[in-house]
Amino acid sequence: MRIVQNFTSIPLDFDPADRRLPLKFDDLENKKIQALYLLASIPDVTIFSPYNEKEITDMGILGVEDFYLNFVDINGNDVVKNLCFNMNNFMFIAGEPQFIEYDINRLMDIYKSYIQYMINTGEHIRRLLLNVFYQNQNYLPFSDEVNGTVQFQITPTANYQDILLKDIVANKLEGKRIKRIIAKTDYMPLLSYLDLHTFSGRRIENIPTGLLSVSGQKSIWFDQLDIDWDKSFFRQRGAHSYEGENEEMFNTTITLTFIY
Amino acid sequence: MENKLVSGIFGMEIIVRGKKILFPDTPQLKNKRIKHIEILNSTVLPKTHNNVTVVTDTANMYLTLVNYGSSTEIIQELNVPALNVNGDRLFINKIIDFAKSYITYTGSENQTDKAVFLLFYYDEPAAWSVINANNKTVIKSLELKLAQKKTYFPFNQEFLNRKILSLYLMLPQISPLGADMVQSNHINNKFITLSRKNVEFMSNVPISIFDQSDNYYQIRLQGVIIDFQKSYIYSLTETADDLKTILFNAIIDDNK
Repeated sequence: MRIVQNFTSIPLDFDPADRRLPLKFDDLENKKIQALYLLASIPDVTIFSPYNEKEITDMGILGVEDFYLNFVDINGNDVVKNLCFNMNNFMFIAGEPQFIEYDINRLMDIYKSYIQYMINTGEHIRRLLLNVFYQNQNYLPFSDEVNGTVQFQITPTANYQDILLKDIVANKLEGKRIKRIIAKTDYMPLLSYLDLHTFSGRRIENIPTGLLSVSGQKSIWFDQLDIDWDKSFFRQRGAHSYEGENEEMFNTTITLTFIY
Repeated sequence: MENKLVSGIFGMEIIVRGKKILFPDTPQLKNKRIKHIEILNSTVLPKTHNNVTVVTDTANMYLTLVNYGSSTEIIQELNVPALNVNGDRLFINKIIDFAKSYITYTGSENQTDKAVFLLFYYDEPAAWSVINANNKTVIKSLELKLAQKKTYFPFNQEFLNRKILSLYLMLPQISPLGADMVQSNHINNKFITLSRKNVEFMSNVPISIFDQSDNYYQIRLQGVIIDFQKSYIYSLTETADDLKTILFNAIIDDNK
């Protein structure tokens, strides 16, 4: 179980001609980082970045490539040295729990931290999402006790679509502190993100809904989010690409269960 | 429930001779508190560390464990596959009298001279450390180039007196230092032995059990400290594909 207070997704472009990608991103500076993961797509689907229509690379292409995270903290300590991301340790949009759980809880020196990688085949840029879990304030007291649940269904009508959560949720969750969101669909995988603003400064910026379908020991919980529904979105960002498949496949209904 | 903290893992080869299978004399586990027991079948482990073929039929095996001192049967005829369901290991938490414990086999296959291979997860005070609970960790990588059947780890300054919480076998193509890696089809014949102050707290443990990033229930180590120069990986075979590099990522306690 991971209790998430803040989350952001950063698209990373890995150029085959290079071997090192510095993590010089303003989004990573002055944040107490719990964990970083690389997220890849899977074959037969297309998922876009949350921010544009650029596709995330699928694991069929990534099969023989290795990425190593090197995280130096602001005191110059090698906090993570060569954490391997490969087929064994990518997060996948399908929500499979194929990743190592860890917590580092440090401020990153963004000028010294980087991902080392080796792309041996092809000339295409690999685009992966860097998923960042971080903390910017004290955690609220946590309990996994369920005080109530409300379920909603969303049916996107386009492959690239933003839906304001206020239009879905209405006033049913007004004033509730959300501790878990479970995403499900009849047709896996989930090709969407949730972009959540809160009143208390917590921020869940484009978390892949696939991660919210992970159950069991690796499930994701939240630090009691007081969501500002007027500023929060469900973002559909992809399509199934099975040959001969009909519109129903990618216009499938997504069920979101909010637990408070 | 997650697996319990352990500081010792022992790989036990039990040779089958008849329907009632007795445990070998195992001084390493005497008076040790056993947290979990796991059985590895022949798909995961075709041969033991002594090159004995592992039994194929574990579904018809039943385990009886006797509590040390009281002679009470704490586990009676437990179907052994229940010992490990996708890494979700039963919490035994007992000191076991191995001389009185046994496995019965009710199947019809000829298993004679094959081996049952069990892993015992236990508390080893010689290796464990107190862990603070505020989740401050660092992650290091540990590379070992296998040079022969038995390859010792070199001295490793980065791991000196560091408390290891988790070990993960990673299976990249190329290591961070550019070495060719042992691939997934060559890991099930390799065993790791780790020591601390002349105590082997991990003995004959198949390295494949650390290929666990897709596992809901991971092996949790209680801050074990490794003396690397007394620790090694043993490979049953030494083909060109075997004698490549192994990479672990270790999650290490960093609470000060």
